[in-house]
Amino acid sequence: VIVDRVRRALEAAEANAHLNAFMTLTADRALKRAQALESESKAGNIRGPLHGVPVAVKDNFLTAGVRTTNGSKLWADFVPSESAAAVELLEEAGAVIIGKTGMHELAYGITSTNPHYGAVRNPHDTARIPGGSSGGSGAAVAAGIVPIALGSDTGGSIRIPASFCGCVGLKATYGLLDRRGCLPLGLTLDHVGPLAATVADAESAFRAMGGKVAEPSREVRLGIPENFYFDGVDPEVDTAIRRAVAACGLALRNVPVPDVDALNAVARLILFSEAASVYDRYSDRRSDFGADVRVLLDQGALVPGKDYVTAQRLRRAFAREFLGVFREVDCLVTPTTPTTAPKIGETTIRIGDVETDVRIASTRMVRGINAIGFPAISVPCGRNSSGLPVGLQLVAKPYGEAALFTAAKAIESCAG
Amino acid sequence: MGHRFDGSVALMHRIPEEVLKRAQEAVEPLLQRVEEIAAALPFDAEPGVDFAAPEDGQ
Repeated sequence: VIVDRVRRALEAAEANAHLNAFMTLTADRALKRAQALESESKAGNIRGPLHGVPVAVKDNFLTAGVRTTNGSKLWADFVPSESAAAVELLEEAGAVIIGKTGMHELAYGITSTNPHYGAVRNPHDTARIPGGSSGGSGAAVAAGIVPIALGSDTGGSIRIPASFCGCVGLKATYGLLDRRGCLPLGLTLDHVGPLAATVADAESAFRAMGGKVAEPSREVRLGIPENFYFDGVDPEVDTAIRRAVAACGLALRNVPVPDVDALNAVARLILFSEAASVYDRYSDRRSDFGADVRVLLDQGALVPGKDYVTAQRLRRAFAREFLGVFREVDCLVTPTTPTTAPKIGETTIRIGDVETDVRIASTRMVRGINAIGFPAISVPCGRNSSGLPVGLQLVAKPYGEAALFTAAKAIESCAG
Repeated sequence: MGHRFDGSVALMHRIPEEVLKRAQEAVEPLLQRVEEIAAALPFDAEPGVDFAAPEDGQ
């Protein structure tokens, strides 16, 4: 059964090659491992809910003996000798890695239109981006190739592709899941986590990767932000979110939130500076970077040290301010992205009468949450009139993942 | 604000002069914005996020 399941996943990956979701398929390894796990099953040893489940891994996670490019020319031929902690833990739980997924170069962008390895395409409309930077992981799940794929999230890179592809994406509390062996971008912003077909799958992966949370002690209460999060949102996205929230049966109340626009500026400055520090050692290889990434690294090199420290002081103040929101509610509800998936090559997108930069718009609801480190999940909540998925983001206080899962399951069940 | 950067910075980061100028123009509004936000920061504000891991998982 396990071998058949893994073989079907590999066949689905081949059949969907036009999506460019995979950088590398590890068919031989996966089938051997499936056989070993099937033998374990027959001997009565079932490791858990991930036993024999085909899983894909974003190409910025080290995988022993399997090429890891980070979506970059810098690592085009890099074959690490050990695996990332998250990969090891998923494998210990019985997952079968079938391949490495395509991504935005260095995980530094949201389109997954990679200048070196080609554009990853959205399974719902191949003329559109899957989001990013974990675009291949989102596409692989949405196309039904795997039920779970590993991603990383520095400014929304799990939740944005989850939203655009119509799957679930979890960014756990900062530091809760071990990110050893996930190549860094924003040293104090990087998170690892799953993209998955269902909330239950995301929860299984989260637990397999070491996530431990107690169940909520009372009914989960949702907060609808009174400011920021529903401004400048596509009307169809707004409608889908509000409809799902009204139908999910959980207690609702309106709550004011801190200045998220300011928090986003703080998060951007921190990322600029940290990414520039990480890639400073490659500053003599400018031609090996794609144009969009090079521009961001250049800007990051110009952030003075005092401004970086100021931004770090501000994020702490914002985290404290945000904690206050969760005295009255357990989860904050927002759109994950203000629009559905843009077209490949689009650099701006129209929301109402306003033309906005695609990257700024797509990270608007998610980026700040990386700076405060609170857990967040994106869950599908319907489609727009063109059939494109709409993503709903839930945010909880630190270590509030249980409330996120409870609320996300309620949204999932009513949104079909 | 324009005094922050000069040719030595360009040399240090191996960024061509004209590219540096464009990057400077692009990043300057963000630096100004964060300076404005920081005006309300308490004098003794500390950096970074620091969550106390819950003992009971809650």
